[in-house]
This record gives sequence, C-alpha cells and structure tokens, in this order.
Amino acid sequence: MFQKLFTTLYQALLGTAEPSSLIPVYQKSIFPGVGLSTLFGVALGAALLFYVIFNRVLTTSFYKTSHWFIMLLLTAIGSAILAYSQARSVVYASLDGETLGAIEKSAYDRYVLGFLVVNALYGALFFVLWSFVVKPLSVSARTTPVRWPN
Amino acid sequence: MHNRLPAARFFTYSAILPLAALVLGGVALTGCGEPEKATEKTTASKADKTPAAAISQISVFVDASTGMRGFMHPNAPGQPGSQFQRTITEVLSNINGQRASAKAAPAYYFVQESTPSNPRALRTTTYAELSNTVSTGIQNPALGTEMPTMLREILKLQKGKPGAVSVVISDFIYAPPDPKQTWKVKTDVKDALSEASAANLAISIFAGTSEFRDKFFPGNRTRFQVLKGSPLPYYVWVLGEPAAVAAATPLLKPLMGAGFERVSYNLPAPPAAVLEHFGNAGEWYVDKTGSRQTQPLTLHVAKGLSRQEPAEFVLALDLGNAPAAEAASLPKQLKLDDAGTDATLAKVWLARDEAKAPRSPALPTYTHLAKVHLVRLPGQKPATLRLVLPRTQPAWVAKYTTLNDSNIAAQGPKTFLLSEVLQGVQDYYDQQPAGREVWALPVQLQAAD
Repeated sequence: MFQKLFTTLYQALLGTAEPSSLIPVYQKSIFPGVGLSTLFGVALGAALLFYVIFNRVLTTSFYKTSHWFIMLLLTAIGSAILAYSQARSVVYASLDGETLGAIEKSAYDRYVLGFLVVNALYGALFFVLWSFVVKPLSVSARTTPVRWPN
Repeated sequence: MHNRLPAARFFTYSAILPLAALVLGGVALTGCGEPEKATEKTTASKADKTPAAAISQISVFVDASTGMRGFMHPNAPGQPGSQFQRTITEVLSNINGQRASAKAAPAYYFVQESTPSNPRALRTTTYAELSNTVSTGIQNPALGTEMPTMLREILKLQKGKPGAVSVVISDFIYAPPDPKQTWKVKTDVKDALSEASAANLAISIFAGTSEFRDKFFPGNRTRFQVLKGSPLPYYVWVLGEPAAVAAATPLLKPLMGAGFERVSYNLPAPPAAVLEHFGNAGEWYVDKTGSRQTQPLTLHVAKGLSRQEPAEFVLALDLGNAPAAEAASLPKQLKLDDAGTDATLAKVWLARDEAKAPRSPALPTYTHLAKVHLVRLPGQKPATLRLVLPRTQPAWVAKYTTLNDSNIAAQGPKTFLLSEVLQGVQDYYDQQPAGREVWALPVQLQAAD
C-alpha cells in the first residue's frame, strides 16, 4: 500500500527512474523505504523534537516561529541526506557486483540529485503537516507558527 | 503548568541549535534503518538452474539379457574393464551418491524376459548387486525382452509418479520376431512410447561404444558371432518429465565426454538470464522477484520503440550440460521467432570471447550470449519472443546404423536398425514442438506501466 502511495508521490515530480533498469529497484525498495522514513522518521521526529521535547518536557527559549523555520530547514536537509544515502546503498546492493555503464551512470546521478531535492521538499511538507498534529501536545510552542487550531 | 526539569538549567539557547542538528542528522541516518530491503542476498545471479528438487526418484534399468554379456565380461586381474563397465559403474555411483538429497532412494531393476509364467519383465535389485553384475558379469542371463516391450513396461512403471526419471541401459537392438517386418520397427517404438503423453515426456539418448567379448546375437536373427573386443554401441536412454530429465543430466557426466553422442527430445531450454547492464540500449527493465529474474523472462520497455530509437538486450545462455556439437553450432543455428514484432537476432557469440567480464561478474558462468534488437512494441498485449534451436538430423545416427548386422565384426560399431528406432522416437514427437525444435526459450515483452 505504501509502495503505490510513495511511488505516485515521487514519480509525480520526478518521472520514472533513470536508468530504466533501476525502475523496479526504486519502485519496490527506495520509494517506499525513503518515503516512510521521511514521513515517520525525520518529519515526525523533528516535529516531536520541537514541540514536545524542547517545549514541553524541557523548557527552552526555542519556541519562536523563526526557530520553527530552523527546524524546517534541518528537516529538509535531513531528508535529503536520507534520500541520498538510501538511494546509493540500495542501488549498490541490487547491482550485486555489476557496474553501470557511463551513460547509465550519468542518468543515475541526475536522477539521484532530483530525488534529493524532491525528498527535501516532501520532508519539509511533512514537517509542516505533523506540526499541526503535534502542536496541541506542546506547552510553550502552542501557537508556533500560527495560533490555529489552538 | 510547566514541569521544569532540573536539567533544563543547563540548556541554554546556544546549545540548542547544534544539538538539534546532531539529533536530526542522527535520526536521518539511523532512523531509516532497513527500509523494506527487497534485495535478498544472491548466491548466484544465474537464472534458476533446474533444481534437483525436480526429481522425485531415479530408477535404473539394466538390460541383463544374454546379448549384453559381452559388455560386462569378467576381467582378469590387471585388465582394465571394458568402456561400458567403467562408464556405467561411474554413472551408477553418481546416481546412488545423490540418494541423500533425493526425495526417494534410487530404485534398481534388471530387465529380463517376460514369460507367461512370470510376466514381469523388470526384476528389482540393489545397487550392490547391480554394480557387481556390471563389473563381473551377468550370472543368470535372461533371454531378453523385446525392446519396445521393455520401454512400455518402464513407462507403465513410471506412470503416475511425477518427477520420476528412468535411466535405461541396453544395447537397444530390436529384433522383430518376424525378420521380414523390419519396416514396422519405428511404429512399434512409437506405440511403446505412447504409453506416456508426448507433451510430458522428455527423452535423452546417450550413445557410447565399448569392447564386446562374448557371443553377439545379431538383430537379423542369424547365427551368433563370438567377438573378442570389437567395439559395439550401447545406449543410455533417460525418460521422464522435462524438468526432471534436465535435472538428472549432470549425473550422467561420464556419458558426455569425447566418443559419446547424444540426442534429446523435449528438454527444457537451458538456464538463461537477461544481462541488465551489459550491451544494453534503450529504456527497459527486467522483472525480478528479489534478485532472481522471473521465469519466463519478462522485459518491460519503458519508452516507446521505433527504428530510430531501438532497444537492445543481451541474453546469456548456459549450455554447459548440452552436447558439445550443439554448443559449437549455436551461433549459426539459433533462430529468433519474433511473434510479429520485427525483432532480430543481432549477434550470437561465445561468452568466453567477451573480454569485458569485470563489468558483469555473472558473465563467466554462462557459455553463450545472444543480442536481440527490438524496433517495435507489440501493442497493448504482451508478445513472446522465442529463441529457438531448430532440430537437425544428427549425423552420428547414419554412422551407427545398419540394416544387416550378421557380420558385425567386419562392420565396426553398428546397431541394427538404429535409424528406424530413432525415427520412431521422432514420429512420437511429430505433433509436438519438440519434434521440430531442440529447445525454445521464451522472452516476454511488454510495455512498462
């Protein structure tokens, strides 16, 4: 189920994987894996960190909207790192000793770059969505970045 | 109400930022963990080699009639056995040796005469007795069953046992009861084989020659000749389901050297795989489950094809267990049935001529490579290309056949009416693709969704 969902999400912005021989690897392993980790790992983790850890469990002065934007940026960077490392390791494992030709390699590099950027975007988007979910749990950051829905 | 943790005192603004970055980075790199690693570890990226699990039981049948005594002559100390003895004891040992991994232990039989008092033409025996008989000679030779009856009985025994393989060792000399009815030989053989359905039966016939020391009874039903070491042909027929016979072939390695001939019917295609990153052009990918390619091989073409933007893929074939003549003639004989897609076979060559092995570590495990050039997709429905090796008349049959074996000592290694017997086998497969093709490898083509 997540396979279809994340494949649609990523391929909507990226198109099908290049080189074509890696399409099944992306569709079966990388998209669902990275998508889930970004959604439930990086984005949710960052949201929980900001709202619950920093502003409920602890009491810090890290609750302003500008700080929220810093977390957003860090989420984006974290998602990009995650996407890059997963794409490399899973593709390398699936090749199993073979190497890509020169044309295939450049297509692969181009696509991974696009994947980084798109995952950073989605990571940021997921962070925004989780923010609204997790916000009520917070104490000092209840109204960051906006008052609604509290 | 806040719960001010005592530790909160130690957290100042300046410490938060690097801490947050560190934690996020940690989550990013470790929180991913092992996301749905659909890539299983490969042991060998070969396409499925017919697993030994295809065989449920091997049964060995040795013709123990008087006419076979000459192959199994007792030897004086220091004498090397006849080639038959050496080869067959090795084959028996191979077959017996795999009993630990097989589902059922191999069964051994002597083929004897079927009389009204004892209609069973097959007598069960043990490995020890059989091996002993081959080495030291037949103690109580039977009169011998007619060859088609032997085949019929063996196929009857095999009926209803999926995965059973029968290995029949005999001189396969069929002497029709009425010497004037030699024209009927091929029909008799075909009738005997019809005990099993042609679609489900594969036959592999191995031929070798061996010294013969004893009385030789001609198929012509003329007087016997005593031979003192003249070479005569003997045959090993392997019958069973296609996958099972292919799985049993490696056990018969002693029958695959120089001086042995072979013809097979209805065997499955050799193990093959599409090489994904070698010699490929165009946008396509191969269906895999885990890291093994699916059977039949399926290619998904991601982008539209045209003559200006063709696609090419290289198929690797493993003909290691095929007869040497087949492997050598493959580049010339292999054909592509393009199923209306105008695909062409661009090149067929030996894998060992390919220098760029480091790029594809699986390549050295294959023997032949075939490059296919695609210019058009079939349309909505998937199309199936077939790589076909057409069947040609084996040359060795003419060498070993004779119409009159009354004076076999002068003729050299010949078998009475061999060509008729093998024609009977060919006729049996007349209605099957196996009659026209040695094997056919299907490759499915479809548009990627």
